[in-house]
Amino acid sequence: MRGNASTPIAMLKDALVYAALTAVAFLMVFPFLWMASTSLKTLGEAFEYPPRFLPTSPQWSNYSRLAEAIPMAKFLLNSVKITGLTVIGTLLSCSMAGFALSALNFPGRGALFTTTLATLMVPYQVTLIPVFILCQHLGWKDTHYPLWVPAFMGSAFGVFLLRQFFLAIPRDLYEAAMIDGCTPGGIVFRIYIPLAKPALTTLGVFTFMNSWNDLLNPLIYIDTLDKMPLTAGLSFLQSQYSSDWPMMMAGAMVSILPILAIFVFAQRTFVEGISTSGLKG
Amino acid sequence: MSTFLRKINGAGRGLMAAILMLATGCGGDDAPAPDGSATIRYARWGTPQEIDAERALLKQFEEAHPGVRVIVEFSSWSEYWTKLQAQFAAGTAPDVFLFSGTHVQDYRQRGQIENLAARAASDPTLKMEEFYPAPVEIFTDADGLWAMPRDCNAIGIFYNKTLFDKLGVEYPKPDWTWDDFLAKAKALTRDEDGDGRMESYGYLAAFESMEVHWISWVWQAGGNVLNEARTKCVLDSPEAIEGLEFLAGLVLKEKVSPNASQASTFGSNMFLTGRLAMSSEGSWMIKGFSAADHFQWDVAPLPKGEQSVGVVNGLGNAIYSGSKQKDAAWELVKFLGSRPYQESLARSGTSIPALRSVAESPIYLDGKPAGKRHFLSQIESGRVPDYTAGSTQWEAAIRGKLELVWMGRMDVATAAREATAAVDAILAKGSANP
Amino acid sequence: MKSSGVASTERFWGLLLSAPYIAGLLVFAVGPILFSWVIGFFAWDSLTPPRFVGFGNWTRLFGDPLFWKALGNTLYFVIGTVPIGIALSMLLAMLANRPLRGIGFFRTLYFTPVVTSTVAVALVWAWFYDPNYGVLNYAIASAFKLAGLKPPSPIPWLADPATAMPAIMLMSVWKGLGYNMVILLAALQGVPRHLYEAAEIDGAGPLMRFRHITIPGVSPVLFFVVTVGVISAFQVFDQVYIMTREGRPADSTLTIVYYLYRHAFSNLELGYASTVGTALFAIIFAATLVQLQLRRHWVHT
Repeated sequence: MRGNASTPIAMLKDALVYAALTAVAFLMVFPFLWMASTSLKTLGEAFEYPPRFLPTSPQWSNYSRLAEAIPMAKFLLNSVKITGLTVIGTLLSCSMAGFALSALNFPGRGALFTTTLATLMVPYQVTLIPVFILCQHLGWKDTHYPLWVPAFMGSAFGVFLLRQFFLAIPRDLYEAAMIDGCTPGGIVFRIYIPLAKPALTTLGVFTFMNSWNDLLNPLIYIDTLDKMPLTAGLSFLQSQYSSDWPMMMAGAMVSILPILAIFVFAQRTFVEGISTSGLKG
Repeated sequence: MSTFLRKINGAGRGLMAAILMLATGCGGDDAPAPDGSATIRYARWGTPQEIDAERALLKQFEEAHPGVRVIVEFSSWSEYWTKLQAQFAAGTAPDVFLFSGTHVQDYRQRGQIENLAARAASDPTLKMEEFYPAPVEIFTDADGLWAMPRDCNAIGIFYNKTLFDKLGVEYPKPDWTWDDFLAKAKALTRDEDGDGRMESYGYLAAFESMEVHWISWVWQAGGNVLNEARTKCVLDSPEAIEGLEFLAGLVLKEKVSPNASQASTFGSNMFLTGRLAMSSEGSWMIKGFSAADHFQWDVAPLPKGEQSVGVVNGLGNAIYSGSKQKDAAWELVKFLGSRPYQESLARSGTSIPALRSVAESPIYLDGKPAGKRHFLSQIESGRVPDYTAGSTQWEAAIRGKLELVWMGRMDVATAAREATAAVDAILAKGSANP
Repeated sequence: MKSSGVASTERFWGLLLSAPYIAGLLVFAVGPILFSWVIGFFAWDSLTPPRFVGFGNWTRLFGDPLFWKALGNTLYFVIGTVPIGIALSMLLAMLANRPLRGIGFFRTLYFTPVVTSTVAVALVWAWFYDPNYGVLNYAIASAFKLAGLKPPSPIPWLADPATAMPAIMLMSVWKGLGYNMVILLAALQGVPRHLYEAAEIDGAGPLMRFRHITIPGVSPVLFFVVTVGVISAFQVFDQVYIMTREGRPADSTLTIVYYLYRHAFSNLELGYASTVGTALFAIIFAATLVQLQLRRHWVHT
């Protein structure tokens, strides 16, 4: 690791960088810390003024009440299933299409790219009801299908992202492989995908996050509480009557932790990639 | 671009046509089985505890009505209306659904809910007079009864007893007046360390919600939003303006209220800071506030103006006009207004039962706060806000004008006039598709 | 020069590999979008069948001052958040790209705002922004008191039309930083190190290396970030929905998508809302076209 600087100037530079990193980290993380601490406060402490940062004694009961209030295990299982399928489907379909759009010549390629961009420009509120009608008539009422099946058919965001990353991969690799007799299909899976690990990881993390945090779609498509994924299920705690912020924050924390864990794992691929880049100054 | 067009011409257009066709409402295929058994879908929002309680009760219902099965479709409060609207659009509306006064006219004028008047009149097992009059009134109009009452709620002044004690102010009496109210509010607004920021405020004067925050002041001054026939806005009457001026004056003139622009996200949470002595809240907040252990609180009825009027509202259960199981649905909505169900409502503490006998029994009345009983007298004598088709729109229009008053950019009289014009325009568009 | 055999292989594989995506696009995106374009010529409350109104929705749209206000607010938001957000994300990405010990920990911290559900975050920020009881004003007042100065009067944040949109922009930039940082970080990883070393040998300073190696190296991805950034900034909704409800105060935070949402779901005017959506689409499309044209000048593939 090049971080083990030896000269005083280099050490000073590193120290400055750490200072900058820490300052920025504080700004980024402060609201999250507030949420975490609120999840351990009593209702009174949550709204106190002057604001109190730490609770007088941590109310772990907020979490146990949460577990009693909702079928946490079921929700988690549902989330894992739906999000897992969504991530797999998205990565598969978007790599294929992204590669095709970046490297292959086929009729309608330009139109496909334009349509991809165009799709991103329509807010979901517009298509919410038409897609809902469609799914009802497909017989997908009160199932998980509307939440993950479309992922296997690509997403405009994912296709656009991977196309751009694949464009950065040198063309000669592709040509060399073709000369060696590899089919484009083989090239995707054997060459591009391994090279684009950071890109795929990025897309994977984002897809995970969007699917995990999705509130509106599960609430609209699912009718049975037991089938709800976690984040949507947590919103049931927020009734029109509720002011129970500590418990709500506890719910938010429970939601966040899996995603953070995934991110911690995922960004090890970034660390590997360090050896191929090099940034000075 | 030609390949693009080709793509649209083919699959796209066909798909689009299919969707359009579907949208014009073909769907729903659960006709009653020949052996008299029926499956009805009942949609409502709720917390997980309410869901569990509901399931147990519905088992009772199913046992009493063999052959009938109830499938409950829960949504969270935040997305209930969007989901209901989407289901109607797809032609897959539920048979029975929880409903509020705000939306009654919108849905019924489009023929989406079943008129229950005839059934209610001819059904020997139902005695409508056992309900409080107000919840029935919410769902009744000249043409019929549009939902079966389920619960009701009223607005009261929640006050912070600890703060009152600390500053040596007497608790509100049940027959207190606007003057008493103002005096107390002033005594409770203090800047103790002279830094220009108030350590405590007397009251939160807000304009967010017609029902919760401002209609009571207008009514008690003798005014109203709409005329009797609900065809014209009368918010620019001197009485209504007087009521609004009193309320706005609490912020701008008397300065006993924080400026309420934050109230939307913060809302009832302001009261929980412990620095607000009094706040207008709905009876539904009782459950939410009971977790507050950092101060003592109770409920008082609204202070009396020229008239003494309470604000009442409530929820009901409506039947879809296109339901194929209307008989079974009728049995269900009756059950939801019957004693066993109403008792469970009372026990859950989230709302006041519409069935008078349950509301006046210890099942509801026991427990904190003592002031709960004031809600009952309000429900007895209170008024229901005027809801028409498009009422969400005109309430928002009024809110926009009141906001300008609160920001000090407009005086009340002008705001009332402009609001009246806006509301009239919305009423004129009527219930037809805009 | 490709032989026709290679060309037809490419054609075959191109279509094969994109087939699932094309199908998905048509069914779940293009179909509903075309539907919404068509329904924009109708009045539809979603409860009863649609009624044809021709260009009625469009004339209403152009004549509604609230629409233009929403458009102005949205443009303000786009201009205020996209350039700054991307510049800061780029800096953050470069900072987080250093092979220092514990860098992964910092990256995770920076990504935390992105990962937290918008509802929870918006609620907390709204609480922070409260003029009377919020943490921000408290912190500012305390800082002044500590310095022995008289604290300024509380900043109204979300309560005043002049400060409300900037407050939302600040929160949005904060929330989005980690997002773009991660993408740009991945892109930075892909810039070959030997290019930097060669440049250094040639005597190029840090700024030169940044301009001539880093930027071109990440340009395809940077293009993505800018394009998607602009597209999604135009569609800002969640923050308004939760923090300022209805675009208050005085419609200063009313955005186009919120305006659309209100007409679709509060006012039961889905036809009109679809028209708004189509108008927004046209605006974003125009903006993106401009960016597509410009890309030849700076994006290296």
